[in-house]
Amino acid sequence: MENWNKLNKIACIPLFLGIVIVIFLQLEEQFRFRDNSIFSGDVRKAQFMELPEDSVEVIFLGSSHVMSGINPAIFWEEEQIPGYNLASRAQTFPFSYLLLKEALKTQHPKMVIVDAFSVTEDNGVYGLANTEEHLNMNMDLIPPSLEKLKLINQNIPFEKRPYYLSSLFAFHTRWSKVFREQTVCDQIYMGFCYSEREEGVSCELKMQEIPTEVKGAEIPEIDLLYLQKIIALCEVENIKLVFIKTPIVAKNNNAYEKLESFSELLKKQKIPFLNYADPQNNNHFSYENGMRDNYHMNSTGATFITKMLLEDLEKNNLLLDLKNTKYKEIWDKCGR
Amino acid sequence: MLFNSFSFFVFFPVAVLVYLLIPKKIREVWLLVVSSFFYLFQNPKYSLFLTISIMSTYVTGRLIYALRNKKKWAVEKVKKMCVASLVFCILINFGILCSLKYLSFFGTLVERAAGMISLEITAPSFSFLLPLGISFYTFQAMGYVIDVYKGKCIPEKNIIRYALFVSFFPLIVSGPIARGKHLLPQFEKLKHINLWSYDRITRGLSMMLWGYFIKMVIADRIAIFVNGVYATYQEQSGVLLIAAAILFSVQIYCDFAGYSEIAIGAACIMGIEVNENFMAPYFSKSIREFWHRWHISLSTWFRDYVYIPMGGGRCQPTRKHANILFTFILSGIWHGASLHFLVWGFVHGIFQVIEDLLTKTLKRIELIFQIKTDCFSYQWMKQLLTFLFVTIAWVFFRAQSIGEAVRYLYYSVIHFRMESLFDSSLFKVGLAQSEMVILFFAIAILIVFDYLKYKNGEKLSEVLLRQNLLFRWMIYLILFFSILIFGIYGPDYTACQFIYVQF
Repeated sequence: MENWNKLNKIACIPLFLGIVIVIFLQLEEQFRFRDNSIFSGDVRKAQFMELPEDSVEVIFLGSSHVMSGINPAIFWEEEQIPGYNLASRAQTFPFSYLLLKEALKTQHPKMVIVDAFSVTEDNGVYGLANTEEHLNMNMDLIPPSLEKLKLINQNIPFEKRPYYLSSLFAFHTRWSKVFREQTVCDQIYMGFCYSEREEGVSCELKMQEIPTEVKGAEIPEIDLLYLQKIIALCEVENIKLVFIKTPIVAKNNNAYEKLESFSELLKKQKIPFLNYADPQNNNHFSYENGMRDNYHMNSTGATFITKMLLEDLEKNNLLLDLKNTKYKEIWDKCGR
Repeated sequence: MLFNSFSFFVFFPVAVLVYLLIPKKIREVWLLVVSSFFYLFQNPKYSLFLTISIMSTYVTGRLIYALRNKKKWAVEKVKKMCVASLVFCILINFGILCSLKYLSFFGTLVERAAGMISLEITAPSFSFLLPLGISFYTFQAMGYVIDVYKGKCIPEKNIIRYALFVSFFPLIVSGPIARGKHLLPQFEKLKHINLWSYDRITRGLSMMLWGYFIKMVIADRIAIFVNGVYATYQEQSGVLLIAAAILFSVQIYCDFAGYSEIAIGAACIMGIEVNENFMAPYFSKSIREFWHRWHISLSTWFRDYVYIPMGGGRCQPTRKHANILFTFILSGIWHGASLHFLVWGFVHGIFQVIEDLLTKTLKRIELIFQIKTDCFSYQWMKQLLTFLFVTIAWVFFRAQSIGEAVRYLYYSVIHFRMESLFDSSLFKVGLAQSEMVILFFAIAILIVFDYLKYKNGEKLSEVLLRQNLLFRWMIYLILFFSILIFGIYGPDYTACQFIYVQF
């Protein structure tokens, strides 16, 4: 009888822990951050994951700069290339890499276009745009994995790690951020959202601060590390990799210097880099009409830059084999 | 390392798991190692004073014991030597405590006193790093030495066991202040007992769970409101000031009782039983009873080592009242080197003296007017009055100075506007309406469990152990997930330090 009681108690422990884990995971799902802005990365990811398998040929990754600056609908309209903008706010290389790995579970794109936002950041990956909220937001997009654990372990102070491991720990006190407005989901098409300049937003639309002679500057170590990981992953998966930098107006410290170094680095590895932040490469871009604020383009600017990107890709013979009309009915609905 | 920090949630399971798995013989050594790690994790410099305290009290204990066994020496000589050893040890330990904690305070007092008689004195300022838990471990170690001197406790031979007694990690930072005769034999028995006890571990875990619940869901939530009100008390209406004062009473209780509960639960998991530190104090019917239920380990320490040696209650009423006042002033100053703590202790002392003076008169009134004293309405009134007095005293504790406390109480009356209770200004000082609702329910749960404790003298963990599995699990799950969902922690907050850690 005593042994039976002991066994009973021992059996109860895993059962109890099992119940705890199930409830925890359910709560974890409820307490995810829901970004109610057009820059919502989680809506983009959710819509992306719902797409039929192998329906996307080009994936765009990067920050809100690429999110507002590259319109995949133009790729479809002009060239019947199905693409998806999987950018998220303040998405740096580590998150682009982890998100790409996640995307490759359902899609096998032939090309990945990554924004060089990461290298232009003032203080590296955990600098200015990477406030706790941005980091939480991006971590939330990545499912639990050893790679994610490693990223947290390497870059987050010990006491703060739980908040990046679990969305429940991070958002249980921010109830207003765990509810989603349906309108946000409806506004996003192929990961792009049409927007005009917001009223009251001041844009210092001047480019005189761009230095005429640009010397290279050091790129943060973590960016270099994950850059190599992205390159290696694309090589293994036989994906063409292209880096771009969308036009920006406001100048980060050393942004142009870092982009110069980045360009040199990619040149050595024979990876194309289309730097539209450099006025020499975007001669006809109108900052007055094309920007929604100092960092993001509006729909007009996005159309212009996306077309320019298409042209440049074509010039470099990178557009071959990307056409795919298999899921025409889906992509036609997503057009402008 | 705070009990509500991520470091502790990593440290504790590892420490316990290894402790349960290692051979019985080295359990004490392991506990000492993890206790040292726990203590030094914050700042290794703290170890110096802790080591002095351990060594001085250990040696004094052994010395007193050795002197008593010197059969060749005259009794008087032995007595004198014992007293000298004890005094020397007290001077070392209280000397360190006073120097680190009170030197600047005494300097300021001298400056002020000199200022009153138009003398200009500039006391040198000292800003020492106050070692964590120094007030607690000094009192624990001193209690041991005094007990040895009085022959109430056999001095410990094993230095490792003794060092563990002073530095045992669940208790070192904020108590409860344990007694040598209670704790040392338990450490000795660790070599022989089976630690894999399902009931004991679940009891300990449920105590910790309850402690975290009242700390993180109630105390830390109230802290947001109370801090907001105290920071702007001149602009707040009287109703809000009263609400904040009442809520602070709940906050400090949940904060400290929560800490004690976690500490006792953690010790329980490791096979060490520590005495209760709180017994539903806000259900007390008098200030005297309140002090039998609030921070029991400290109040009994003052009773045994200060109040009773001074004559206690078995002397002339004037002397008795002087003893009470002195003990409470000392208790006040123990909490912090500031005059408002001293006044807080003094106020409690005065309340007790008045209570003592009025006891006979009150009984006479009850007899003359044939007042029923055993009915619940009368009992409730007494409980409410006690709570009211304790709450008034807490204002002196919470305020930054005596002036601020007096002004706070004054504004509570002068700025009293009932309408601010209904015009949603209650929700504009840090806690939104939904947060207040959560707080209301959490406090209701606290009252229910505390009432059960008050009535039956049983803790939640003990009551739960007797319940059916389904009910028990439901309560565990509710508590656990309430902490996760409603607890105040996360990126927007820094882990609120336990109030008593600063003492």
